[in-house]
Amino acid sequence: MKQASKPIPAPRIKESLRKLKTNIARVIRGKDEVIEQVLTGLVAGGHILIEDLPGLGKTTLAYCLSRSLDCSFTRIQFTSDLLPSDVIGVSIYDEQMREFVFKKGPIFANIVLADEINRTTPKTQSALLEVMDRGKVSVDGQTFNVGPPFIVFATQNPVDYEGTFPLPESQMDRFIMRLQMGYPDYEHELEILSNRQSRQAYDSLDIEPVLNRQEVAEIQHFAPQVFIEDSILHYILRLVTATRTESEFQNGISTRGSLALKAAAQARALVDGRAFVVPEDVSTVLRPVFTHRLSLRRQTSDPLEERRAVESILTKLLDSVPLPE
Amino acid sequence: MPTLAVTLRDRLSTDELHQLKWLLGQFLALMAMWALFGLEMGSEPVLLLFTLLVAATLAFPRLPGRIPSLFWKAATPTLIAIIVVDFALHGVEFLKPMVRMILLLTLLRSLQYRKAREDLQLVLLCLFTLVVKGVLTVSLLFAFQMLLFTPAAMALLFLINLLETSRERMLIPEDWERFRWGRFLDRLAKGLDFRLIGFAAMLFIGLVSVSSLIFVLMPRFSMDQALPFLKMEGSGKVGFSDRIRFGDVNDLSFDDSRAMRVTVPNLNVVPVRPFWRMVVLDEYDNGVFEVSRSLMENTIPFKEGSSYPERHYDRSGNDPSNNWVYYLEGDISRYLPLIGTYDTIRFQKTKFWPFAETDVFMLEQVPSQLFGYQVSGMTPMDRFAATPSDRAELDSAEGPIPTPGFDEERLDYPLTTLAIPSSPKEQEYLHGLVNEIREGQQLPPAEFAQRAQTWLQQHYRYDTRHRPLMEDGSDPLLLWMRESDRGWCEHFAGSFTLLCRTAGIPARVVAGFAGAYWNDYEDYLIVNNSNAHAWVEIYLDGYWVRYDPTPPAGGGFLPGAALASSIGAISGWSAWVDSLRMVWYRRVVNFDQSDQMEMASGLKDYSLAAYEDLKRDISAAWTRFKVWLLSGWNREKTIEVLLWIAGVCFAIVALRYLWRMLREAAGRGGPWAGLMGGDPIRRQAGKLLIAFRPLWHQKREMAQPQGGSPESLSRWQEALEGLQRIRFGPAEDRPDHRAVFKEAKRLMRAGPEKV
Repeated sequence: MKQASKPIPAPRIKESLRKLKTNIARVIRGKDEVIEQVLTGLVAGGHILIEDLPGLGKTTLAYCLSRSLDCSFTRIQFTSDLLPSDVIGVSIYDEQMREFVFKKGPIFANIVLADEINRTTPKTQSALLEVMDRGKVSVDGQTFNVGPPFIVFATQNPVDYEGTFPLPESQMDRFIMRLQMGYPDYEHELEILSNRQSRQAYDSLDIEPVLNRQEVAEIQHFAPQVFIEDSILHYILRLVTATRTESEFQNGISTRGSLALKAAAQARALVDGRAFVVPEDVSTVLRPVFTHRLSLRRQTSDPLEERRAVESILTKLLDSVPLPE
Repeated sequence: MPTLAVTLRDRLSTDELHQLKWLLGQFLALMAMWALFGLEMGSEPVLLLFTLLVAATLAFPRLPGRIPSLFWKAATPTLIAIIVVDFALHGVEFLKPMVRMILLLTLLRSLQYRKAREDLQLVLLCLFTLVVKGVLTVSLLFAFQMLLFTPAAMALLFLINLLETSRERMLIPEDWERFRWGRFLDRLAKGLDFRLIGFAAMLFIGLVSVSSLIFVLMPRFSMDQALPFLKMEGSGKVGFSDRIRFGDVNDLSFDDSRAMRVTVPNLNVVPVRPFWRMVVLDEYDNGVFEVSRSLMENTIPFKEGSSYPERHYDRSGNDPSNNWVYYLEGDISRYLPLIGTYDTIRFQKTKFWPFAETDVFMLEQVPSQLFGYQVSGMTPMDRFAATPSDRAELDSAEGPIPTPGFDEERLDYPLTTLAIPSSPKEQEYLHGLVNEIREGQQLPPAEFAQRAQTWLQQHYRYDTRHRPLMEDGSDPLLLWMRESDRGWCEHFAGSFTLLCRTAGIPARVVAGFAGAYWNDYEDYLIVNNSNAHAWVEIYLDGYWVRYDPTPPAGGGFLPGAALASSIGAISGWSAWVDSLRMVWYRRVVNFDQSDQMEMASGLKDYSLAAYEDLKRDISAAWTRFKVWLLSGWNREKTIEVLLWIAGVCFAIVALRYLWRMLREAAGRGGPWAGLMGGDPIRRQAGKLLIAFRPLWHQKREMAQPQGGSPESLSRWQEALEGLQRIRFGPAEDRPDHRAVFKEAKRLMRAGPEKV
């Protein structure tokens, strides 16, 4: 792996990201780990699926991130009657110009919060996923760029499955990681409760941008250049192979999954201020990167239970594959 | 770029493990067939065919898949029929049909892709074959085969066990369609964890050494209690013969195979020309020297036993500690070669005849495999005292006695040693020769024998062939004396005997071996079949004295080998292999209590001597050092010492520098990295990191509740980051590894509690 001519300014990136993190952590209390994972996703330039119960701060998190970044932010509430054009935009005839003009949809933002993505029809889902994949929108032969940066935070409610269209596995694969918020712990929740300004709209959140768009683009540019030693690549491959031979999983991790793990590990290293990957980076990001790509051979009715089972098997795999010496 | 610090191995798939298991099974089957070759079952062509079949399946594992299923339907009934018929026809010699049955079953199992159960059957069949072979032959080859068999069978059982825990599965022909040996071996080399192999090797060595130890320490008494081995009737071989027959053979060709090995206390007790007496042929009748019937009948009746104390009449000076152990190869003779008189002879329990009159020892039958016997008080002899009754009879006997005809009463020993051919014409011829030798004088017997020997050597040459003689119905030996001018030891010994008898001196032919070779590797004597020889003993003043009338040019049967009758040394590869065989016989097959004692006392002596040597060396070195230290110190000496110290320091520094250069070169990749097995600095950082990580976690946990002393934690943090950077970071901008390693080691030594 050839180094880029310009060395990675790892300490500076670390400092920027630390500022970003403290900025978000001022609002999202007691969720440092989740915030770090979100930052990892941001640095890796991937999209993130947040799956948890309503009211745990998914939207707030995405909003805080966008505000801290001095980036545009849109929110799409997915419903079953939402059309692709509602997401992407629509061409309308301009009387004065005598031509069709493309009115950009909510997808044209740096950070898009796609709320309850499983509520909408597969048609709309795939329109969104296509944009996620390409970073571009093609309408009537015209191509529009989205971002950069362009990050989709999709949320999904794991409990309420009535009348939903669960994402097929191939589309789950497009998200670099799936996170879960989890309940805050006692002290932090008490802190939230005691906050006087608790019932606030997002817009009134007291949050200042700490990074601009160029800085984010620079960090994302450096992420794939993070040095990754051969034994780490072997470690990644062994973990991937272990999921493929594990009999409890229906399928193993795809090659896109291995690439995602690598990218996430590199991003994680950068978040920690390192210009090289250590095995701990891989093991830290393994669970968020892998859980949504794996399903159990035995069918379970409860997705939460399935998620827990997959995670425990992954933990077992992590223990069984030795760290590179 | 080889930044890899550890070698990573591929994992063999289950299919490949199955293939390995099957191939190991084929290897075992092949070895079983190989073992059976040594058994002489009389069906070698079939065995060869079977072996080739198994070898073919080993080389091309696809082949068994091509066998039509019809074959398998027919196989079992056919096999049963063959086995039943075989047992019905040859049931008497139970062992042979049984071995054949095992052979057939082994073949059947090795022509198919086996289930685990069938693999176990194959292992059992092969084990049985090897054990049968071992019990029957006790050869060195068996030990070697067992050494090969054990690890292969262990590996096979291990694989069966391993595969049993996964799903039971049998290979089908399709599995072998894409099998290639080259690729398979490549995968094997990549996939086998050498730690596993190392562990297995340790296990195997442990197994072998424990069993050797048990073998060595097992309580034993003496050689006569060795196992009486099972016997498979072997076909007789042409070798040493207990009768000499003239007239049939005109040409000799002899092999250099081993006839006997002898261990002796030391080389000094062996005579320069050892004559290994085996049988005394006293009776001569019409071209044949053989043991007379009277000698056979009058000897002490045969006994069954395992030791025999010789009651000899002249045994003064026999040193009872003089233990010689003889290892006579199979199918050589029922007469045991002996070099003189002895106290006691010990052997495996068998029937035997001791011949007191002629100092010869005979077994009931020719041993078909190696026969070991231990002789205590062995004393090499040039002459043997005659028994008092023989002496009385011979002293009173007068002149030659004509051999009686068919209808007359036969002569008894010892008078047979005076018999000459009865025909007047032949007697006249012999008397003529005797007169020619005497030149008209009346000579004392010793003088006559000397002259007769000279006369024979003047008139006949040594050669391993003589031209065919026209048979005219006369005595074949006398025909040879008249017509020929060359011959070998039997001719010389025979004619010398007849000449002595004609002159009135009792004489008898002795057959055995003359000469030996000394093997330096294990210190023992080797006697080859080509050392076979015949000589004469004549009766002089109450003793049978050895005379060897054969010209020195041919000490034995071997032409031109003057050395053959004295002791030559052999060396080189063949001697080394032969010494291995000797070790096997001496230390394993015939290992008994005396060997145990010898080994124990040898060990004791050796360790005592080594201890003494060490003590002496140390004290000598100390004395020298003291003398040197106390002797005068002058300028030169001081400078010399300082130069030495400086030189040593410089060498250390230079080596260190070189080592670092190498390491750094390896870190930059290129050929050095391959040589050093990856980047050594990276590797060392990896090792340190493994030890460092748990301490780091401990330190962090300790620091957390107290709020910690952030300063000390940061030291640990920095060390960890440094190590990680060296281990996983790019080699180009690596921090000074020496400082990082030093700091990490210092922290680890101090432990998380202190620093």
